[in-house]
Amino acid sequence: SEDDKLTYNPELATESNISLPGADGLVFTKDDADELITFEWSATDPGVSVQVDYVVELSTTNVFDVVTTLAETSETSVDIKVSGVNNALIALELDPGVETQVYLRVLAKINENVEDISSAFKEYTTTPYETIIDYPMIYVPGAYQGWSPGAENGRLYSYNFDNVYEGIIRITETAENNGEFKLTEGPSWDVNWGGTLTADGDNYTGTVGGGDNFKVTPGTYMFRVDLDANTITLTKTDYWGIIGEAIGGWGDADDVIMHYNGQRMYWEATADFVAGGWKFRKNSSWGGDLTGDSNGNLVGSGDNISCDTPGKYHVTFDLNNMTYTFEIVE
Amino acid sequence: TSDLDVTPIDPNLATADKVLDSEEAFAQVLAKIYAGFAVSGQQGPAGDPDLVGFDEGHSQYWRGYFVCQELPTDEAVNGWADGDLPDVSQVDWGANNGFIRQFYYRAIYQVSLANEFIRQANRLGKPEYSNLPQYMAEARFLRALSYWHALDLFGNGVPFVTENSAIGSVLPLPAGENPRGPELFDYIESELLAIVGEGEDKSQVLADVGQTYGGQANKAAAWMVLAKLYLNHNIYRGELDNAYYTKARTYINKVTSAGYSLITDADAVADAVYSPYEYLFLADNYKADNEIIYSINSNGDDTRTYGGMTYVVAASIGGDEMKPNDYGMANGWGGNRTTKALVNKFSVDDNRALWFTTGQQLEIEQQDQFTHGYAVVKYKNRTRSGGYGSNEGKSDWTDINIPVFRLADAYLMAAEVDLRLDGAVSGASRAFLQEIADRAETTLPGTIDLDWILDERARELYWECHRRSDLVRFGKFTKGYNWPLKGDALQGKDVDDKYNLMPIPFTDITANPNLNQNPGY
Amino acid sequence: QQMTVSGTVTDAADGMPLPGVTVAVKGTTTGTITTPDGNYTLSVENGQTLVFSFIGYKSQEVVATNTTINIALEEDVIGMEEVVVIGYGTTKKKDLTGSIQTVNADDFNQGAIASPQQLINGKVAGVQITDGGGAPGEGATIRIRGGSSLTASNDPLIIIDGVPLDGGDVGGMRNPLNVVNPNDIETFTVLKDASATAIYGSRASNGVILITTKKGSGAGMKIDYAGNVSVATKANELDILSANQYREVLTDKFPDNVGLMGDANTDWQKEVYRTAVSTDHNLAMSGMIADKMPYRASVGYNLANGILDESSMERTTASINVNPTFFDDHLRVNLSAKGMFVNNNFSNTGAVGAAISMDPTQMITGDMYEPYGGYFTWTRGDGTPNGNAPDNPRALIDQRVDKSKVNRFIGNAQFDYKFHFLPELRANLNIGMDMLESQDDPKEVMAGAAWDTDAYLRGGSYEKYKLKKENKLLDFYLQYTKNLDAIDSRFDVMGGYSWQHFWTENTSGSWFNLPNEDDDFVRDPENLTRNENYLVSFFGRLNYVLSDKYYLTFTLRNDGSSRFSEDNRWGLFPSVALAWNMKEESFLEASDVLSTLKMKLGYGVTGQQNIGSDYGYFGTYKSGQPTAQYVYYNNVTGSYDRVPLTTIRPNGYDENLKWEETTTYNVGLDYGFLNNRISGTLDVYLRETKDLLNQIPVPAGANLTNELVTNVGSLENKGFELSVNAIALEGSDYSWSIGANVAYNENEITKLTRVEDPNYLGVQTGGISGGTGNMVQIHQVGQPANSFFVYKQIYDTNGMPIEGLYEDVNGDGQFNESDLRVYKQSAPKVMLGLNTNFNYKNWDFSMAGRANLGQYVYNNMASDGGFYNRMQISGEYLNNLNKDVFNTGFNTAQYLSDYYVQNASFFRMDNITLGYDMSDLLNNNMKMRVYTSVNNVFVITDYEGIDPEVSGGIDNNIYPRPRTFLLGVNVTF
Ligand SMILES: [Ca+2]
Ligand SMILES: [Ca+2]
Repeated sequence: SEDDKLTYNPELATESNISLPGADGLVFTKDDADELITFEWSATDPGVSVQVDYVVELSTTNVFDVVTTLAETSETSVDIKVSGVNNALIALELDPGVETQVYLRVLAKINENVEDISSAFKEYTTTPYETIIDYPMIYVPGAYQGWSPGAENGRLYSYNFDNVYEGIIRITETAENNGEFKLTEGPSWDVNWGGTLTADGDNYTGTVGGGDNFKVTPGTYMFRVDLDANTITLTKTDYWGIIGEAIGGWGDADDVIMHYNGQRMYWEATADFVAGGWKFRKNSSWGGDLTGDSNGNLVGSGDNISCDTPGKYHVTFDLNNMTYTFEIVE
Repeated sequence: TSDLDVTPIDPNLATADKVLDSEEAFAQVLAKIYAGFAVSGQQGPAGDPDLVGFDEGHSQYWRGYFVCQELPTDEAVNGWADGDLPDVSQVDWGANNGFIRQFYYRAIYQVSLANEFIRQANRLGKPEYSNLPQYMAEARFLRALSYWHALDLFGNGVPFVTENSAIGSVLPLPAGENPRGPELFDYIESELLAIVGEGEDKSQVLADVGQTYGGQANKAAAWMVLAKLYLNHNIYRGELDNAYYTKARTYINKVTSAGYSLITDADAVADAVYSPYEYLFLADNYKADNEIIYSINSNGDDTRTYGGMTYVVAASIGGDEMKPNDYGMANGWGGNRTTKALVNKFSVDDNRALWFTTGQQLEIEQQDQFTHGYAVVKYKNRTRSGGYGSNEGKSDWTDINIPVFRLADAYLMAAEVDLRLDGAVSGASRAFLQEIADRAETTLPGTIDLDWILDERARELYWECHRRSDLVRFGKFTKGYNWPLKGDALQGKDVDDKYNLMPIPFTDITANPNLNQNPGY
Repeated sequence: QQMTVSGTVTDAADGMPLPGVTVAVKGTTTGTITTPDGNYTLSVENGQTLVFSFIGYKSQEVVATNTTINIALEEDVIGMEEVVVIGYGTTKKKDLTGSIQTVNADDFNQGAIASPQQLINGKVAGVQITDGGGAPGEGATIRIRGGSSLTASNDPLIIIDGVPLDGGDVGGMRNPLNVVNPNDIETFTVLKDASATAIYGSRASNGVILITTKKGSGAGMKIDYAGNVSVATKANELDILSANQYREVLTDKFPDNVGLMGDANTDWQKEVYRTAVSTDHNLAMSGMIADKMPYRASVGYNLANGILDESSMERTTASINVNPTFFDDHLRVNLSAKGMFVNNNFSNTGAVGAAISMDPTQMITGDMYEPYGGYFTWTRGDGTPNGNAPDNPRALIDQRVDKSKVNRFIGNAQFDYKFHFLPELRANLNIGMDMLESQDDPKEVMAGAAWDTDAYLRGGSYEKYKLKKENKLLDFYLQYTKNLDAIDSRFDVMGGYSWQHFWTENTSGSWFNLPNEDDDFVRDPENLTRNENYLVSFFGRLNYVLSDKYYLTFTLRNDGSSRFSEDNRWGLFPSVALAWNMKEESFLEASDVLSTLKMKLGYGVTGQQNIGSDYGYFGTYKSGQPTAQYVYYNNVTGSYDRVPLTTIRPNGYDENLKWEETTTYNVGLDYGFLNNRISGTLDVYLRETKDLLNQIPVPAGANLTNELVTNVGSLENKGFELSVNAIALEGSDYSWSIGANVAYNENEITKLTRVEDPNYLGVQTGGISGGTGNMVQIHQVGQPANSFFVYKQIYDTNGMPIEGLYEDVNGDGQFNESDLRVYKQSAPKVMLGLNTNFNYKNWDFSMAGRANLGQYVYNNMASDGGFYNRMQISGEYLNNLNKDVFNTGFNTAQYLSDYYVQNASFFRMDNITLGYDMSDLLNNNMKMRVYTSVNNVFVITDYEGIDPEVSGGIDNNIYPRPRTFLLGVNVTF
């Protein structure tokens, strides 16, 4: 009943108008990765004096049913690196190298209890590029994977581009050449190294150079190979598998062992699932096993992860970020 | 008429000349400066407060320091609807923020208390008070400690008062005109050097390591503050000078070679229910004095507060699943949790990851929901063997001493100085880190860089009130690293660089026109 | 036997005939009126009584025995000869120069009156009296012309029979004024402007209330009995969800938490309130002993039961006044003693709030709650009570005993000596004391009380406290009065000295019933505090009257207080007032319509020294309690023995502390028409307070605290007061009178800091419940004190507030605490008082009501109870909701929204009374009146909370004011 009651009427609001970038604004190549793209728009006038925050959204459709957020800001412009825009395109599951249409809009956020005020959208033609970082690699062919240089489960990466290669490799028992492996420069035997290892408890240190196969007690190791210093270190570590009624049962031999994806620094597996519960466990034994919550976080206790629809799934397991994914493949 | 000349008839109240007539009385006034870090007033837990105009519990020193050092970081989030407290977790405070304000006043209050002690000791001390010089050194240490906190949070522009300043309606001058200037840094440095026996006047010197009670400052405590001062010198002085890193190394070396050692399995008691790392944060952590260099002491019977460890423990108990009694408490206040940014720094083996997760979700979707984010159970008002403290689990008054400085921190500082001076960690420092990793049951990476040090500091020292300073020193507090709720965004966003310094409260800018506001506020 | 009577009616003053006078035969409808020359003729029975009445004249009755009856009617100038109590003396109402208003016993409010201030609520313009709530004998906030202080007390100085009460609360007692039995009070005199109050100097800034008690008079013995029985009922209850509504809303909003609900339908408000019956008996005996010694002695017994279950006050009072005179009336002695014995039962007012928070689906008691005394309790997983959850309201009441016993004695002896050799000179000596003792009787938390977790874990606890006050007074003055007929003048001068000593001692401590591991029972250690202060004063007054037309009053007081340093100790408080009796001037003398017209001009300076601390100006060191020690551990020996040390703290101080000073300017007009059938006063005032005693932040580092009470800032009150009293109708067996008053006050803070700083926000104040440390008011320059300081709510097009959406008031694009703004004031701008009396034959009927306009209240009940997320807390427990949630739809708390600052203007009908005088039915020696009344009859307001009348402007868990029905009798014989 106060006369000075302030009313917000969305119908009286004036929405933002995007002025930058222009029509070709999202055309770029990987070489432009560090260039900045300026996004600019006029301020939304909600008709009352309130704090307005802007969200810049990209979508594959002009109804914005699939969106990714480019930026959040309270200013009316923002500079984003090409790489950032490209990441957003990749997040929209657009295929690298394929020209496509995308749509941009600016949402003015007034308050979570009123609808955002959207600008008119702008349409762009763009071509995302592949973003995975190509770390330098060396390979670890061995009896455990059939002496196959280049196989997925035998790669080490130099994350700092410094000739030091790291990764986790699970060396399984084999009837012949048990625990033996070599290093190769490429996915071939053209340049290869062997050497001797000295055991230190469960771990090994050694030098890289000689022709003999390296030999260790089968197990899962963190590798560190320094090709400048020609040293190699193997530190015993855990391997991880998935287990549960959704994937063959809870028995001690039922683990589906994942392999370590050094490029992405997580464990992964693709397997057929039936409906039921499952979880992650290490070293094919109980203790320290993990399950996951609905937000994709790994947690130490709680209900099993449940598979509701049978099918082939891809599982990733990221101990660095304590996250996991569980997505149907087909 | 003489009726009008009154002196207090209250048995607990008297004038300085009447009170300060013995060495014991000076010890009691000194104890008040120490207690100023532990309780909030003369009654305990509340009543007759030191500071007025605030909720008394809020105004307690360590509670205020925790609010400033932990809540704006990846290590903690608070969900209470207490005025502008939520803004602190969001790194979104204004110059009027009441919670920042009350710590500002508490820190400077401690300086005033120490000044008064030194003033009266100079005036009423007697030659036969043989311990008084050491008491005065302790008062100077506590003053330097609070000045350092003020410098770290509010910069060089805080009011500067010493025992030579008059009490009353004077308007103190700021320590220096530049918000990041050398004056306060230089003063704290000279004070600390004097009381560790390295100044010109060596008449007031702290006791050597091993020669003090627990909870009393010794030389190693002062070395730690010196080392922290030097390690952060580029922040505090506004420019980098490797000579200060060298000085930092000097004093870290003094600490690490003073005879302290980490608490390890060797310290384990037969009936232990907690890990050696946890011993540092229990009701009987007074026994952890081989690692803890300086602590603010508490005891459930004698030292009661709604701040301090009562706050840290009670505020971290909430939800339907946590039972206060498990942590030796009668109540849970359901306020503080941690973010996934901290949780995700730990490997699965790391036994320092002390979370309570049942009923808690890692993702914070609502700041005011205690169950969003993991609860932290690092501090427990229980003993090593699982017993209760002096409260028998029947009140919220804890026995936990606040570990202000401990050896593991010095170890991490040693490695950090190596990296900053030499670009690599020395063998000796790596051995220190190995000790920490061994206790944590984690492995050290092959190469240790500054990013790893910052993360390891979080893993080892979370909720010990180092985090905001660390993030600022590493240049990651405002930009380049984000965590849930930073910038009032659920996943975090960059914030203005002004937040590296907290504002001088508007109330003091008004009361004291000599002061200048920090940039951006 | 029939006869014809005739005669002339004249004006007794000038002998002129009076036309239009009513001449009636008593008890009949027969009558006539006088002709233009004042004559009448009437036929009557011999022995019947004639009544001559005319407006503005005193009626006369004559028994008709002669056939000629001439009558001279005397003017009836109402009230002007009345004697009024002023500071250190009395004066006639017509000689007053200051703004003073007196309410006599005849005009007191009626009905269920347990506390003296209720007697005059609404009767005096510019006096706001707000009860703290409906508890029996509840204290009240009294504000005269707004408040002149911010931090220091705004309470007026109250003086009972010449003994000033010291300000401040009395632990164990709801209202310090309860020392006087309302039935013993003769007059309330309110001194409002400085020319009237300045004689009380440093304590007079907020006005002075003088209370005098009834004294004996006349010969013979008179016995008065007054008694009543009353029934109090809940007038209103807070709108919260019923059990079924609650089920519906919780199921809708928090389906995961429905399992926490119970199966019961409990109306918790019903469970804690009751209909309470109270009684009051007073017996007074008065008369004259040995023809020399008038006396009055009284005893009173009041059992006041409150509507909150178990709450009560049982008060026994005894008073005696003896007023002997000696030496041919040269020495008049006045001995007065009052004793009061009160037993309070405070019940547990926490139940008021608990009853609105508690989940209505829970049962009150149940077998499974046996560990908690059988009361439903929210627990944690391990069965320990959840200390954050609402407490069972019934358990709060049943598992606590909180009783107190208060004894108080006020006595004084006053000697007034008129010198034999110089009768114009009087000496007056007054010696008085005020002693009080208040203590628990007992105060304990029972074993099993889950609502007090610590006590629950240790078998309950108890608290002991004791408060003692001993205040002493000595006043002495000389007064010289002289008529100087030669120059048509009279004057009197008075000069005196006053000495007062205030002494207080407080002890408290609490203990558990079960020991801790050290066999220690202490909960809060025993604490003793002791305070005293002295006030020494010199005062004087000069009155000069010329030709009964021109009046001058000059007063001066010099106060010395032990609360200030030698440099600031003495404060000089002057005042001067002029009055001009315009009616006596030739140009008005002849007016028949205008019967009084007097103009008064006043100026004066008063002070305030009630600052809460007796030692604020010098440095003190304070020892800490055993629970605030510092503990070392002796690890030098490795034993880790605890070494606790009691601490000593240096306290902050302001050596320049001094008086707060208020300068008042007052212009007053007394008026009367038609022989004062219509009369009243108009006052316009301006009050400026400087050197405000204000608790403000001190520059950090400059002192040993962060805030100090110091003299800084100023504020202003300006306004007017108008009162009208009218006899609307008067006849031989009926009369109707109306009283009305209106007061308008504007309060503005004009300065708050030593250094001008336009950016200075002010001092935030007004703590609310909800969160910790939230405040919704501010003292800001340019605004009234205690203005609200909140965010500007934005509404949607349907008029619903949009949760969390507030105006960016300073337009910087960011919404944060810089957008808090001043919005509305908590004090009323306009106060109205209305009362009316109607008498017909033996019947009397009266009504009294009040209105406050332009006042706002922060509805804390709605802000803390009206948002959905409050229903369940982390799945731990449930809370009931305020129905205001339906008006806002808020999910989360919006404490700082101006939505909750609501217009709380109101009109309250305080009282309606109907009485019947039965004296005629009894023998001649006995008078008796029976009456019935209703108190708190109804309230008209837009405010949606339970009651718009809230002291301080924040509505939070107030003990609801009951509606009371009463039946009473007064007997005199
Ligand atoms: Ca915010
Ligand atoms: Ca703003």
